[in-house]
Amino acid sequence: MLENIMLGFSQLADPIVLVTLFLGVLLGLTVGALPGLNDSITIAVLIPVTFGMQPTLAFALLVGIYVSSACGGSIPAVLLEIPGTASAVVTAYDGYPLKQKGRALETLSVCMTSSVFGGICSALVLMFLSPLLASVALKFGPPEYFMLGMLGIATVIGMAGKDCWKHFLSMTFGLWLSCIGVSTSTGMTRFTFGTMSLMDGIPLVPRMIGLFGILSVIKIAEKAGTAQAEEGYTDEMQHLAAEETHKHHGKDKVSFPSLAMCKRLLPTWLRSSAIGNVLGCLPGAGMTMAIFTAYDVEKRLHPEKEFGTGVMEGVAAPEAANNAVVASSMVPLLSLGIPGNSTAALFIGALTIHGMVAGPTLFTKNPDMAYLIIVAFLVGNIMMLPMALLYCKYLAAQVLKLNPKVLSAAILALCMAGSYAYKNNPFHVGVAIAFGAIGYLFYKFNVPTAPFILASILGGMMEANFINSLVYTGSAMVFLQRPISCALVIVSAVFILWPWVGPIVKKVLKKEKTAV
Amino acid sequence: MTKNKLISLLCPLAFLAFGIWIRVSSMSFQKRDATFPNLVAYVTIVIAIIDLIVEWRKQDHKDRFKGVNFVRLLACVAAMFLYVFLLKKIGFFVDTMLLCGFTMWVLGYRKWKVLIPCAIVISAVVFGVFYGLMRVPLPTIFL
Repeated sequence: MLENIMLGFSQLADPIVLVTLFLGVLLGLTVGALPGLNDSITIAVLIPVTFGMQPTLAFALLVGIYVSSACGGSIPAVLLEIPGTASAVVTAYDGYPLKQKGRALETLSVCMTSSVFGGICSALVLMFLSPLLASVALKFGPPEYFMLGMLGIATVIGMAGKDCWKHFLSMTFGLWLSCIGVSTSTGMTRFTFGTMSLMDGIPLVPRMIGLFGILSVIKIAEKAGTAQAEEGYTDEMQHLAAEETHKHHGKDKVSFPSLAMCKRLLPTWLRSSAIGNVLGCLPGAGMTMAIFTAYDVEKRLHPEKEFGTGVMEGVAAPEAANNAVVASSMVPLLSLGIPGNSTAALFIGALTIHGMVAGPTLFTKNPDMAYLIIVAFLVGNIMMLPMALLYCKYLAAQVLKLNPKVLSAAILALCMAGSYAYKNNPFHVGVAIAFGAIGYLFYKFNVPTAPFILASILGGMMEANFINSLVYTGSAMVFLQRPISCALVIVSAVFILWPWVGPIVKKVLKKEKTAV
Repeated sequence: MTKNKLISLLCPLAFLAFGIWIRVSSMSFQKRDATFPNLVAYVTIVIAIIDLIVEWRKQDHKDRFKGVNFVRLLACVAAMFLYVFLLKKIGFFVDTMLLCGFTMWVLGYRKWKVLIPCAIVISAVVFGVFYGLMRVPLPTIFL
């Protein structure tokens, strides 16, 4: 394994690759800092741009963006109480009160340091856990692979709790989507509506561009000109942000936190990183769950502190947790081919257009690329600390001045060019727009897109392995007869049924306790 | 039945119809090809019915489309589809420039002296990156 890690480092030692990673981190910080933009939108839009790039450069850029965007999201969360990304929602709870106390730049420094700590921890988890999991996954047969796909979807649905029916519907839509095109088992076409362009199914890249990039523009358009839109990110607020960042340059400054502060925050960083890593490895759990859990744990452990009024632990916990999710969400993707979240799912598209397949075979067929991605997560995080501090000091205020309306036009232009470039076909531009519209309807009716994205990616693999399992044995009992498959059936069932079974179990345990 | 409740029921009803359509469509497939779509269809139908009951029983239904500017929303989406239609006819650069300008205007940006140069610069940069650097054969009318 060490040999392969060194291989990853040697690939990354190329100055051009390092510069690309640097640019990726810078871009990630910028898109994270811009409310309305996030890592998923940027990566979806940029995947087609990486067509003509060398795979090493392409993945250095994408990893750089993914590593730093969650961190960048904390800048407007602290300065304006507007989270740049969903992962910075909790940061605003204590970050903004700290800013009001005149400690904005110190808070930003803690945000950046916490993010880097969480990120490095998760990069190490990715480095050592992924190859181990991948070596186990190589022994899997069709029933295990089918159940692995089921487990991925089950965790996404299970996280929804009792309100999971919309998650199920989203999943079935994704599974149906994976059936479109020529069937791999008989060569017959399914659900193509007589269109030649649908023979290969609906490609991932235009679909993702629609669901992230175009949807973000549609969401801005729906509120355009209304009172609600004016309450949000107005020009005046941008100038206010710029002024605020300069106002405190006297006492309050951007710098690495003091030793005393590091000592105080170290237990918080360790706990939150552990939470982020565990939840990041579970497909579907994601950042939101990690940041709220980490914040809640700190709140319980520090009853003497009034969280929400400007407590540094309240900023450090979600920041360490959200960046810990980033690299750990790549663990199931690189080792099993199951993305940990929607952004990780985009890496499947990036790997595909460069002729690679996510999953255990990536470590055997393309170990150079697998370890480059892993090492890039580690180096990207290390690189991010000085960059993020300098960014907060000099660039953050400028970035917050960018007008979201002009930015939306630029995103739209990139979405159109990116989806056309996929196969030089205007049909794929139409696909991206259609998925933007579908994403909007899902958003309005509270149907989550994560199960749909996951199911549409895993659907093809699941169908092939489901059919193979039935063909070889002739019975559906095969899923229960093999030990690993049976274990996966049980775990999937627990995830799906837990919202109903969990409260009953808790009641029984409570009764037993009171009886004792 | 209130208007909001009716709107909330539309989603499970649409999925119910979708599940039935998958089942009917897969009747024409060979047995092996139909197995997985049938499974998806049955799950969709069952879950859609459960969701329909859940939505029906709910007491308070929020207005999902409150504050939505439908005119601007539809204008934005229509402009995107028109963009696809015009792409091969007027070329990528002009088409994208018009789309960018129109989108900024629809989103409420009214500073014409900034809007027009921005639309030109955005289109030129995207065109330069994809056509010039990446050699993507974007549709053109002059080149």
